[in-house]
Amino acid sequence: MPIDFRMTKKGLILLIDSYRTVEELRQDIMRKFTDAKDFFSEGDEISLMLTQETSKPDDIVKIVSLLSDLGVHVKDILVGSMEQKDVKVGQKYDLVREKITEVRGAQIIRRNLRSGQIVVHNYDVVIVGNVHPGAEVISGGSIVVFGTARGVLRAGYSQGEEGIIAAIDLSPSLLQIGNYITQEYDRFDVPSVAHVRTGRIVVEEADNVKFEVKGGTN
Amino acid sequence: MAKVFVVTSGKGGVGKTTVTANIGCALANKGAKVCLIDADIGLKNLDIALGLENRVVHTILDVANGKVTASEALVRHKQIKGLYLLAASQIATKEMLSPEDMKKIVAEIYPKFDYIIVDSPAGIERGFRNAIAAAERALVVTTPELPAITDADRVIGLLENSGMLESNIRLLINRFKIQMVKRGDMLTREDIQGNLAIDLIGIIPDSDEVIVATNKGVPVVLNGNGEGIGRVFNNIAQRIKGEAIPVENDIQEQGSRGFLEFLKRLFRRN
Repeated sequence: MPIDFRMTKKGLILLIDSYRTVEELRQDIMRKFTDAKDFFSEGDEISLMLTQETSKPDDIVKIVSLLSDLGVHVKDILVGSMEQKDVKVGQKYDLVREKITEVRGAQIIRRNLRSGQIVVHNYDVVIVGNVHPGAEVISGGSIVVFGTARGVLRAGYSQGEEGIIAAIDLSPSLLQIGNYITQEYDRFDVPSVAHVRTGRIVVEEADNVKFEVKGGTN
Repeated sequence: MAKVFVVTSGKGGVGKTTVTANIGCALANKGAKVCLIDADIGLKNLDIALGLENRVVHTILDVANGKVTASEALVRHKQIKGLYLLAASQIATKEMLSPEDMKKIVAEIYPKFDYIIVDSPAGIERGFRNAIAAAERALVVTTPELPAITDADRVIGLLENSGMLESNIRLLINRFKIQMVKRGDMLTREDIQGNLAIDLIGIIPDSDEVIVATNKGVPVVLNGNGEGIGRVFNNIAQRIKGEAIPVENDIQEQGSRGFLEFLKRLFRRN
């Protein structure tokens, strides 16, 4: 079964076990939703569960936007191994990430993110630890790393260019804020902040940041 | 009650099998009952490293298929009392074993041993998942090269995802070239640890002894008088048993010996 719904204590979870192309997955999801049409109402929240094979960062964003087009809000995205299909999915939470809370604010990650691990959160993400090369953070708002950031950091998926990325040692392999992407930026030995100013991503020392002043405010 | 380890790395060719064989021998030499499990079905090597390739009758698949019990399939080592091998089959594939099979097999022999060490295949696919299924602890082997280190990072992440605690994962640096590090041509221990942020259990210097020993099928720990590289494996075995031996011991002794030899060679030439 490539995709399926599971009901757990934490709410409804959509499992995506395998898929070939996003388009095919889209059709699968559409079919599932038409089958269970009466079950959903506008603004319902579900969690999305992906396996390590199906957690492709580029696609995740597409899947989430597809679901929101269907009128379903994705509360959380979990990545884990689906081998124990019959086991309560509730156990999966701690394998995947620290703890999945239903809090809508920032998510705090209290460990190192290692190559291949990914955190996706609709709001701000704070990581107390390092982001190793090959790890990825996708945040709807801003990202703050209390440690060394070397993986891929994508901020502002929902907030757009309002998002910022800050780290003690900011040297990720790729920086993205909203629709702006860069791999070439200034690197500092001190804590620094990446933000969007005059239509491009700039990195500045944390002591010396000049955020863009939007019209209307002083 | 056994402690169940998996020796893994992600990248191939970093020395998982050699490390498994030698640590197993070192632990058994100290009086522990040790079972080594080869999870590299289809590309088995552990029996060769131990010199047991002609004594294997039943493999792990025979156990999984219920032909024999795990205890019946174990091969006892020729010289070392207390060292056993559960061999892999060469004519099968990794898909023929499941993580559940592995858990069952380990559960069966669990009460009889002090240590069970599973030698994982390279990669992160089925074979890897089989190997880690029953393990509570892991030794992640890496060499001081960036590809091996990034793979090790990925593997540590996968181990964590499978529910293993970071505090039960240890790093083992293999093929460490002391002279090159001194010249500044190689990643140092600090570089590697900084990259991986995980506790170190040992540093194995690069050594020709190991190659010779592996080809003879006699683990280097058994070869000679506890000098040289064998010492390092004994150190690691003691650390696994819970003794606090500084990791510096692994490279210092080797380093000074190398330097002495270098001097000797220098004088001989003149």
